[in-house]
Amino acid sequence: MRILVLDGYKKADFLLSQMCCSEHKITFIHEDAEFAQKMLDKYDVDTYVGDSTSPQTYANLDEEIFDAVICLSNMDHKNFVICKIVPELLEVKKRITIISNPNNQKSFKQLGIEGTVSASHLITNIINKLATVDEAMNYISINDDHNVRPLEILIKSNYNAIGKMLMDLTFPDSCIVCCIIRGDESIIPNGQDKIYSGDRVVIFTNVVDTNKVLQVFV
Amino acid sequence: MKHVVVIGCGKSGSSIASTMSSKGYFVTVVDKNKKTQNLLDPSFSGFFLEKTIVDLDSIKTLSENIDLLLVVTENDDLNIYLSIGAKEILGIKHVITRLYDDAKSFAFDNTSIDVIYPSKLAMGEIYNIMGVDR
Repeated sequence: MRILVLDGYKKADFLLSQMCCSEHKITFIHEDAEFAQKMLDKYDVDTYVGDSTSPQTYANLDEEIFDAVICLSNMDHKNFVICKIVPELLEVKKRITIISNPNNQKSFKQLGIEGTVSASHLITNIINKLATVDEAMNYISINDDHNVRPLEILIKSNYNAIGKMLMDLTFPDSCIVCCIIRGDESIIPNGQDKIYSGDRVVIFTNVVDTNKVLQVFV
Repeated sequence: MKHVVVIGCGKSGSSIASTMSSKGYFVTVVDKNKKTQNLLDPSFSGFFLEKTIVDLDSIKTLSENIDLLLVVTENDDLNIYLSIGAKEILGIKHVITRLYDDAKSFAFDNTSIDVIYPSKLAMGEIYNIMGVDR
């Protein structure tokens, strides 16, 4: 994929280090010439020095078609302007922007910018769920707007579900058991599969039924 | 009485706020820096708020009914974001903003925001004085 990465310091450095290993062709734009040079030395990227919200910057690029543009500035309004102007100047399939102020996430969506990532949202969600639901090991948010989420439950030795077959457990309607992880094995279960202590059960569930799902096993 | 909100109390923001206040409008001026209120005319009878406006919620909390919103901060990108958001999401009827860099003007395509470009205006004036026909 051809990816255009804009601004950011630590986030950019980390993102580039992760993405350069794979088969992506990355173009990086930063207003700080020194930092841009550092990234150029460190990774296999094309770098340009320039103001990412200024249309002139994009006129110098060799490429004009990108699969994704990723905005990493810590100023939300700057990311907004980039998302707004870039599709007019380049051919871009996807826009992804980070958001510092969680209040802005909804506004961005309403203004037609879909690919938003708010670190504070993600973190508060995870902390919130982990704090209230002790049994849930992993609680990944797919998307804040969707009310279905994956849930990973560790079966402790005192749980009632141990030794029972899935078909004998009464699940709420709005959930599905996707996988049982037992040691190194991943089992896609059917109704006859039994639950054992130490299993990790991966379930997709409606958020409101999270507790009901847990009660099935406890 | 019509409620005018001015975001950014710089030279233009303070001057417009003072004038509108003297014309009998109810004016609220917001700036992140308290010292900027010194730029307001002594006769200014509206409100000055020291507040950093970086999202739309903070505009919303200023007033439920804003008749005219002027976004004139020193930052072009912030002006673009706040004015578009105020118009499209908050539904404020009349939004005016200022953009130093007119290369970014197409960010306002398909919006009914009134945008002032100081550079264009200055150029026009200069050509006028020189008597050059563009």
